Amino acid sequence: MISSLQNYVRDTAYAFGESWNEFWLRPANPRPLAYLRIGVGLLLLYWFLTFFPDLTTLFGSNGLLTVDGVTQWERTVFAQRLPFSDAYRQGMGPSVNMSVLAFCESSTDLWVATSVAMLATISLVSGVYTRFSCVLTLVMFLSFVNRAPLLCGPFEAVAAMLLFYLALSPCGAVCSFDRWRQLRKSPPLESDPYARTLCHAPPRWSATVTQRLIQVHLCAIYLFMALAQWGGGGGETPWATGEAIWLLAARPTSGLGFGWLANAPVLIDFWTHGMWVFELIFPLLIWTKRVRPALLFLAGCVWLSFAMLTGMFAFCLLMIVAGLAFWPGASVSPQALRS
Amino acid sequence: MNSVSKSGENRNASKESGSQPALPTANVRTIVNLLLFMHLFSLAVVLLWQTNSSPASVQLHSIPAGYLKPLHLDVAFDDGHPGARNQLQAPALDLRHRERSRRALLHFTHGGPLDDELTLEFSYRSEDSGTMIFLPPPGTFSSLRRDRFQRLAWEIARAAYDPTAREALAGVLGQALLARFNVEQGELRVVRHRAQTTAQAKSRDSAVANPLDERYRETLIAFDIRTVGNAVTLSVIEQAVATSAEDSTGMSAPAVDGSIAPDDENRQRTAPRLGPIRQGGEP
Repeated sequence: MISSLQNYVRDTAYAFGESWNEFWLRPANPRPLAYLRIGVGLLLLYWFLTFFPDLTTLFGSNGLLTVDGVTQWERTVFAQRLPFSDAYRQGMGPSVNMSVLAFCESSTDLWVATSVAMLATISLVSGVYTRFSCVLTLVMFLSFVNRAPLLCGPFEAVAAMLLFYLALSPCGAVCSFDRWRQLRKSPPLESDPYARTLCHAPPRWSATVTQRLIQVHLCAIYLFMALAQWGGGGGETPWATGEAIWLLAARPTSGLGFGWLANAPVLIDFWTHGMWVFELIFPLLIWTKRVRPALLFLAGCVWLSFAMLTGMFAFCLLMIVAGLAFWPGASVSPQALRS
Repeated sequence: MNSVSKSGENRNASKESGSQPALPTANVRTIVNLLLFMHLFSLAVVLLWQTNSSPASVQLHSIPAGYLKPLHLDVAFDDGHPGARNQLQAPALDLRHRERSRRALLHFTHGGPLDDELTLEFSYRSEDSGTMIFLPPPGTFSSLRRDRFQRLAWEIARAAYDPTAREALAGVLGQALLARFNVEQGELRVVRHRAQTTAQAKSRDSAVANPLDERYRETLIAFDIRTVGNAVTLSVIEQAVATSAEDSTGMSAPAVDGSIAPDDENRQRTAPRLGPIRQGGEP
């Protein structure tokens, strides 16, 4: 009895360990990460560009959010509440300390920092010294975020996650200037012409780990998005009553004139609940290979329609790009990719 | 034990001999798995204890915070106040609730007053004329740029109901605005543009049906900011008060005929506004 129990435990532990390694570490083609790199990079380029008109207004020496001001605000607002103050003292100091922009004293410094950020992002998109440019883009992006965390919202939350994992990944191994340079320097000996293309690279376990991390984290974001919408911990919200889509459409700066929705209450209900159900089922069903393409197509439709409704095009495009993490890459042979 | 390891080896061997590429070495696997476990544990702690304010959960949360905060991975997904549809009073009512300095706001709307479109308006008077600055500037195309100022207004409106936070705001924005325009006194206003109800959108009255009608605008809070000696003082001169209708639905209830509620229905005024003003562009 005890022996069979021991065997069961060992077998289970072994099977779990084997599945775990298979899931996280079986080498995969880094091509999906390259697509993610290009998509995220282009959206970040736009994100940095949108800071141009307000750079000195926000962060200048006479700006609205001075370094001292933000530090004081963060300390006062978030350190006063007990027992949070303990946690704050232990390792959650002011965000500004973690920003390169905190050292920019003149507007020239700010422009230089923003230009560096944009150049790094352009390098990331084109795959020039990808590892370095990705880390530099991450540092600059987080510098803007940490300089004024109170200005951040959905886009920054998802972009930070994607960029962090991309910085750990071999996302420049394919579809990049780095790959082109590598092919010119030392052409592969394989007879397969496909091996000499920009879109091919040997499978790597680091690609699998980072792609899986993005997948898991994205699923968590979808799940918590649904939970936050439904109740935020309790209470009846417009996502539960079916009026959320109307409330978003009725904002004066929302998308493309959805006033006609007022005459279609059933559609408002259906859209609201449909979006919520989609966010809830995405993290559950995306792991099923047969359902995955349909779910990714649905994600495209959901986020595009939401972008048109709310005008949040950058965030919605980022969610669509994040879905590329589920592009077949893990454990797929070059032959399969070719077909 | 032997049977287990043998069967394991066989399974591994069959996989290695196939077309699939080999797993990394055992040492690499150990290190990567250890790092993976630490990262996933940190994420789980931050994600699962989003709203719990028990001392134990706060202590637990502080462990990975030093690692996740610089990476902006420790965000809260909603507005941080569970069930508080009337977010106007949430900070004052919910002092025990843990505040997060970083929010993803992935709930998009909870139907509260702060979920409507917000604008910051700063007005000041120099010599005989006045100027009003809008943030975001009217006609801002980029939603990213617009949302930044929206969230700034959101933070100001929330902090306004907490005396300590209000003082901090005086140090941040008040001082900066007065210094920027080189004036000693000004008025900062957070204006909410109420979302229409479907009844209002369908109204036959063209003014009511127009979502941009002035009557949908409502001042949530207005401050008088002035320099006194070397210090900046900030006093509330106008403040919206949540009505019972707003308490239950998160929005002002429309009149039976779909008309708009009178502009000053939900507010208290404690001081007169500034004199004549001229509308300006970007600061």
